[in-house]
Amino acid sequence: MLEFRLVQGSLLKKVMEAIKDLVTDANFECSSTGFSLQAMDSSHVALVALLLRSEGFEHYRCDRNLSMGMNLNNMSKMLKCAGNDDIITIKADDGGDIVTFMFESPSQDKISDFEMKLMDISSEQLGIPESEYQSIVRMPAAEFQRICKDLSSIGDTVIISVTKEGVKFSTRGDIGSANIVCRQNTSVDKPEEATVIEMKEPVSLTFALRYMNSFTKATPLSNSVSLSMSSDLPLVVEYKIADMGYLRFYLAPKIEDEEEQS
Amino acid sequence: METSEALDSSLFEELDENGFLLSDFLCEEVAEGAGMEGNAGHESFAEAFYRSGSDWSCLVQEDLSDLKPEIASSSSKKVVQADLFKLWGLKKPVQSKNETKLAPSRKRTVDLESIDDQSGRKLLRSSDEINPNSNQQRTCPFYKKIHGTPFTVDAFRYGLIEGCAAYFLSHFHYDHYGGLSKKWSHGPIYCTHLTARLVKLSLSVNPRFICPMELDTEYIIEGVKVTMLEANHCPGAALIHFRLKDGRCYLHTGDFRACREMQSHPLLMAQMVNVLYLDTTYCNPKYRFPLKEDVVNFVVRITKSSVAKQPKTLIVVGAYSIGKEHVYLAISEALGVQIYVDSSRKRILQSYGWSGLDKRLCSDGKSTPLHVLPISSLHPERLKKYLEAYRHQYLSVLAFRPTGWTFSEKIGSQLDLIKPNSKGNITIYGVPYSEHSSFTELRDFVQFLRPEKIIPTVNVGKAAARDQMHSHFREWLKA
Repeated sequence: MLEFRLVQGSLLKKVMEAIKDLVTDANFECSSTGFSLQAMDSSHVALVALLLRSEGFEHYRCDRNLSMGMNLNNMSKMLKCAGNDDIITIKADDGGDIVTFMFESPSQDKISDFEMKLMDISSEQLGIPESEYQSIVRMPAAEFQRICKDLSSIGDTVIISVTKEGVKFSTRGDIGSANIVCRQNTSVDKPEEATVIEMKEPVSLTFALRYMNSFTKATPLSNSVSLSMSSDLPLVVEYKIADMGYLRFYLAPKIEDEEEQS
Repeated sequence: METSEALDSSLFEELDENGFLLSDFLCEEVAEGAGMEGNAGHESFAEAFYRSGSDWSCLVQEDLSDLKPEIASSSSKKVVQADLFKLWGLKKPVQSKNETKLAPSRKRTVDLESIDDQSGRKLLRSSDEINPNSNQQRTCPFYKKIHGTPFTVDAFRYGLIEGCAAYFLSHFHYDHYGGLSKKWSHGPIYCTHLTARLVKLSLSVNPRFICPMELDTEYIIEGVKVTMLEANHCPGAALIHFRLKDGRCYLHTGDFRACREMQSHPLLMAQMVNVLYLDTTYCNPKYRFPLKEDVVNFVVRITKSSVAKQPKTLIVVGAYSIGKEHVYLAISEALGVQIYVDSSRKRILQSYGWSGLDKRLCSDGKSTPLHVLPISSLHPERLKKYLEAYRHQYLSVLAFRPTGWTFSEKIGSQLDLIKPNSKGNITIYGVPYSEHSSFTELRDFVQFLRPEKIIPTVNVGKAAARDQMHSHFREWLKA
């Protein structure tokens, strides 16, 4: 038996909007500690990792670990039927092949039940190696979204370079080039507006803007975003979900061609 | 030209309006930069930023190396998209090799009627099928089934295969044994003794399912005469020869590197092979690998000359879990040094029972300059970090990445033309040491066997690739 109730139902809607275009199907892993998902896009270039800890739910019950395979597009269709202020409850039986989404309006005068068929998805959970990153940039999420959007009108790849002083986003396309620099800036009123750079080593990496733009669909989840980079590792774009967990995107960089295809 | 200039300056103004270039710390310099004939190019920007008092110099360096490939649209270095498995050094799930690769990207409408769709997923029936690791609903592709027998080869990720009485494992590489685990209970697994030991050791498969077979010995399984032959691939790898009750012969090559010696095997000389299941990893005319011996000699030669120049050189050989042993064994013999391997690899290597190799292994990295590492860790940055740990002993790293993928048409068999990838004191040689057949070896093997039918087992995911291979086969068998 699994049942959890999330007062901030909009959060789940936002998560779904952020990932449904990147991955089609995913297994939701439920355990007593929380609700998580890990899925890779079909080209093995990007990976989504979601964690919602049980503490963040108003009510959370999970008797035994359960893996629920869902088609994210379908799940998103159902969650779209929930109002932004609705309380969402997710229910499933241990032996069942369906999951139930229940939406309660804040005034408690309307309750909707949606049932969705589960699917068996053969995906293996990857042990993502723990890594230390050469540079970590935290910046306002909206700023990052804007930068990715603007740059993608010029080019299709972005070079992100980090030094102690700032982070630079550069692109180049047929019509010209663009460089956007954000300097470290901690003297702001609200901490979420700060741009903070923790750098052990300067790093410069190239990424496909298509993916970056897709990641920034998670912007409504969090005021700030962090970018963790190392020269031989995937970029990690992390949106913290207040009091509950995170939504992380891992993205493989573009590398020089000489690195053979084995 | 005029138009492009106009474009440049309009672009510049646009950026201006967007406020990116006119941010507080930049406005002065931008004004200056604008004075410089509206050159919104990268140089002036970096320069401007640099002059604004921030230490951006390391980036300017980076830019030169990293932006240029992008800027120069000429044929210089191009960037390609890396994938996560490679970066994390993880094995790709094997389905990427066959048709199911396309499945995840296919837009699926939920068709609740289709209980068993080809993409390998199945709507749930009951709870005991909820298992994220189960690949059970994927169907076994035809090229893993030996037609006319109750046998499959290298088909462990499909769970219980209906009608399969014997599961053959050609060799112990993940893309072949994938799906085998200690939970295996679907039927007997036939493989060579060495592979059997690895299956027990590394996967803890219940020994009662493992049926080891001697090479070159005929066994009768389910009424079919089965013989395993040396595959010239990795330790334990076998070609599997089936003689059916009706006299027809099938040969499954597993993964192999075809060679002359195979053509003198009595079993292959005596009777024609009706159906050949062929390892077509490099079935493309551009792959003409030098002999393995030549590559090993080259590696030894390079190592000796490097060590002569700089005795404090750490030699690193990349290897998969098994395979490529001869490369580091040859270096070990030539230099008279031990081979450092980590404990898990040591266990695996010891299970081969090769006395020549056993006595050369050691588990103390500080006592020998020859180290074996996973092939995925052969990147300049990682090796640099690795060298850090031995910095009191060694000043530089000489690494070899022995795989057919490093083959380049330009170099072909002229190994001396191979240019290493050097960064500072890290030198990495990609050497075309292939444990798969090259194109001509495949051709010679096929022309020797002259099978009635060839079923490729690798690179079969794309129709175009399949057609290409079949046209090669037709060409070879025409004469």
